[in-house]
Amino acid sequence: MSFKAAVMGYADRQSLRPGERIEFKVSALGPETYRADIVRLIAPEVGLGDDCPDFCEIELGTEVCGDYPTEWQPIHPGSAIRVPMPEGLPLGGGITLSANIFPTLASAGRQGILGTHSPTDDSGLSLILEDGALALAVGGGRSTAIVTSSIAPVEHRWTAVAVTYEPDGGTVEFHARGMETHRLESALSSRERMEGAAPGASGGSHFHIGAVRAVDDRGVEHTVLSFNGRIERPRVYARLLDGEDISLLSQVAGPAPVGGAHADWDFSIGIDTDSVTDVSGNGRHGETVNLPTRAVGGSNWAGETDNWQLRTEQYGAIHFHDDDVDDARWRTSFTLVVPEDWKSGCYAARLRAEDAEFYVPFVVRPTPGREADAVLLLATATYGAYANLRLRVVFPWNELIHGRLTVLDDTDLLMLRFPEIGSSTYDSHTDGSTVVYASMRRPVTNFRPKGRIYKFCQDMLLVSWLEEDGYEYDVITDEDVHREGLSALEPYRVVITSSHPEYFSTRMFDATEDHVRQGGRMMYLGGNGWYWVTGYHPTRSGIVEVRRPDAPRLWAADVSQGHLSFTGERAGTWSWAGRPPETLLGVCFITQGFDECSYYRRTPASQDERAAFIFEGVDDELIGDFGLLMGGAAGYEIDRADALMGTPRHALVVASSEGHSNLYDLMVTSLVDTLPPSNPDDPDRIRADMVFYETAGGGAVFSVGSIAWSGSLSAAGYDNNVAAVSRNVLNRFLDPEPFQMPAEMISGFGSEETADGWGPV
Amino acid sequence: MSDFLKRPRLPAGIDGSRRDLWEEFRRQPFGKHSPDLHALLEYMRGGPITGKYFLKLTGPHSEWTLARFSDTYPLTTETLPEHVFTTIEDAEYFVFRRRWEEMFGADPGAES
Repeated sequence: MSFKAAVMGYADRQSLRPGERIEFKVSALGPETYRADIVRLIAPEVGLGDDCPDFCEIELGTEVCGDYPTEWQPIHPGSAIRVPMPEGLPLGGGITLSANIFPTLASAGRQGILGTHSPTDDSGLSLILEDGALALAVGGGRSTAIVTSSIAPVEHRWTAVAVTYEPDGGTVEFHARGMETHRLESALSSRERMEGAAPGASGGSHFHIGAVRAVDDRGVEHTVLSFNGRIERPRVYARLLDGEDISLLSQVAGPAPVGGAHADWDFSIGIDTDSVTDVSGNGRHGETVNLPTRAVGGSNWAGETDNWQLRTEQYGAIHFHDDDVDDARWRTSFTLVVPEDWKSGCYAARLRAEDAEFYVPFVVRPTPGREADAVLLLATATYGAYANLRLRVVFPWNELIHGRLTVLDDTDLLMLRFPEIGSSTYDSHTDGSTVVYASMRRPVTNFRPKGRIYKFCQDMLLVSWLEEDGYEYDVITDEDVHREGLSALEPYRVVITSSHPEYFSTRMFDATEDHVRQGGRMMYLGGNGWYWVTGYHPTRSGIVEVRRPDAPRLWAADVSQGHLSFTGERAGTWSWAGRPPETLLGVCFITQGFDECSYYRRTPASQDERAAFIFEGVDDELIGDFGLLMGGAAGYEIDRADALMGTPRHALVVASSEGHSNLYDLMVTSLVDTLPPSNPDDPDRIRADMVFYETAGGGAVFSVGSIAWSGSLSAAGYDNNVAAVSRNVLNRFLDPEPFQMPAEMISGFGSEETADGWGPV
Repeated sequence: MSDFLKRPRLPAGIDGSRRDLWEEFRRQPFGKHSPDLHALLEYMRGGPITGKYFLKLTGPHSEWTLARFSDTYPLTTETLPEHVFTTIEDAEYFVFRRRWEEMFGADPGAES
């Protein structure tokens, strides 16, 4: 295979204001230099033809544009805990290392459990798994001896393990005891002594849990030989413990069962942080690296609750993975200070090396006080959750659920060539466990204005529509709203959502709800919005957390993981959390299908005078029976109204889609039973509802409940009924004249019409 | 592996004699299909990733080149430059015929 140039990059943030700095980190292979340009993004690359906007980016002459020397910056995946221990392990009187472990990929070769070993300089001592067997890596300074036992802890079972090492004679003794209390299989119980196995270990200089330390060619310290699985209550004793004492070490709750520990880490402390606490009193606290999964059940998890905050002592385990990556940790390649005169909008660093190209988009917010009346809220939380969506490339059922051949380009295939860029929250780790954290602090292959027309690329269709129609608009991100709350939205009369704002934090939900409650207007021009409870890392930007305990069949959620580690909040859908999206949007996601999109048919309620402005000048009964996304405005992922779930009683369902393909069947989370088989012809089940309602504060919400909507805006040169409806709504929403609630709602009595009449639901 | 990830079953009665299914797909590769064609497509599309066909985007949503994944892990890809399509429908039809032939031993498209 011929060598192919590659360039990748990321930024330290996705949003900033004029005068602020953004740092770009770039890694390239191939030519001596790569080219970097800053561009303003106007329209995405979505194809050719009259119905497609021409790809449009404006090159901006800034001092950072130019050729840069090619530098390859590696990523070192794999999570671990790093504990400063410059003095190394005190080996003089012998040493005992212990932990409870739950291996999940014993076949993954050599895996570090705990200790100071470093293969870089053959130093230190670490308890490891060697092809599934307990082993001790003994670094003597010139070489490393691997002392391997015949004890193989069972995969997906808890085992208390320990090793003692006597440095003078080099005697090693391994201990292992199965801990499962509700298994009827025979439990492991082994002890193996190896006299004079490896004398002369050095104490090392850095302690790691879940990996061992290494230093790369650039002198950058990192971790290697990551453990796959859970580790709980690792301990170090600077003496040789006997078998009786060692048998007590599996106890995880309460004070240490054997006194005088050199270090004793209790992972149930600080679950919502990156810190790890040593409770021995010796202050050997550590920090997690590459975000191993916290808030997972430990060996003593009893199933009483899936909330780590209620039984913290049962959540003293951390799950490590050899493919975790929270930050590529690359050096900054260039830094842009956004000029004061740049308009708010979507921008990118465009990187090129020979025929390789990579975009690093970012948003420029307006200078405070200079806001437009409308703002596009870019779904960066959703971009994060989907960042490096590996399943679209490598999962066998991708074609099945999309009903089409998978289409990939060179940028998508970077995920195969450089697997170290990690996965999305839709993927599994190498051990099969679910990815729950995702970061934008690494190259992200599906955050760009080209490629699959989905997420950011598709949201650029909204930008191109706003540009084409000459609207003044700003752009902000989910994370801006999460960090700043309502104040990020208060300058705006109208909030226009992304095409797929699926992931929402509590603060984002609160802010958007408060905005319309206070008179703001929202155009939900997408589908599957406000769906999953999402956590942002409490201190580091660009990192989200998602767990899906109410969709266990799809993402193999561990039953102990009912709450987010970052925030402690109930994980799962917002409906599951008692706050259905219908309460704000009027609709909620019910199904998806990516093979074909359909159209809306206007309902009698579209003739209601309250909705007259929506259809002004639109005589068609069918809306959006065209579009560059599979031929229609209703599809990809669709939402419907449901009064029982919280659609406001006075909301008007002004149009509903119909005629969806076989692929559109109810999601697991929308089903109460698997029988009878769903009938796609039944409008009560498979449809996207277009909803409008007013709020008491003079605000209003217009929802289309379909991701594909924005794909129809540009048809016939933006002269079509989807663009007309969108324009009508935006123009009215920009009008400061307050909306009025229907009189019967103000008086406290709902309409007598029902969903059967397609009136208020 | 959960049931969800297993390859769908090919129901009885769907075999190479069902030229009606082939005709239906040729007429309409996307959208609402008969239950039998839907089942056949689910079987075809639900195969393992190794050796699986996909489309390499070689022009901006205007040109697609047939490609396939390697037969073994770690996955690599190979493009088949002799098969370039200017519509997705043509590409889908081509792969449908290939899979039909692999499953049933004859390519109905070759007869027409």
